[in-house]
Amino acid sequence: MPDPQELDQTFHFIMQSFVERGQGPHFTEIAKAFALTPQQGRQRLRDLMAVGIPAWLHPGTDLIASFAPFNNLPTQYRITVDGAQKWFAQCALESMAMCWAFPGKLVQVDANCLQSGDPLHLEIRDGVIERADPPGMCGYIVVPYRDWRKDSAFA
Amino acid sequence: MNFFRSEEDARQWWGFVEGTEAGILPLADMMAIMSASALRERTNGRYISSMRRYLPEFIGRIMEITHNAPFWSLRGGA
Repeated sequence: MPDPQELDQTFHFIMQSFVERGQGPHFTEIAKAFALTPQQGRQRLRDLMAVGIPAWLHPGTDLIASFAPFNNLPTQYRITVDGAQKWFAQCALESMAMCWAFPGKLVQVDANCLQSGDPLHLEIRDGVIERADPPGMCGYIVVPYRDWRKDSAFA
Repeated sequence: MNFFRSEEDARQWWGFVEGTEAGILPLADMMAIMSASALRERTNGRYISSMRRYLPEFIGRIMEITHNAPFWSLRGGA
């Protein structure tokens, strides 16, 4: 059974890596951060991914594909903070949670409507939507909430 | 979940499925759901060991905002 404190530390390290550089770490970086062997770092990552958080590895690898609210692969949800567009959100909902990773800062979300292709723009700070263009934009998910975990990437 | 220019656009999208209208949420509702502690506390340094505490609030908020729609229930039918 993994140590809860170690899981906390690994989660926090990965989250901070995304915040600081826009990318998740490789397990060798996790190992280095905690003075572990590469194999132990890999196990730390696998243990964390098994606890049920909305995150997953690329199939057949030990590479972080997604780690809510961030995505390690480009998505249509481009995130800009302090003039730098170096983050991608996991989905529309998680793009709105991105503000909690950047407290006090204006988080800009840029995407395109999947129907019209029109550009969509949001500005959020600390949970307050300061601008939405167009103002009538909305979110839609086809998968009922109870089924999200069956296919998190699709949901 | 994906963003759409309007509810009409969401309904016209090729991926829209009849009977899943409850899956359309206005921005304010999305923001309210994503402001629960389960999302706000991700950078607190002890997230994994405390996340079970956040779950009831998160589920409760979803059910409140969606007016207990079966689509958003962990148990009900869509």
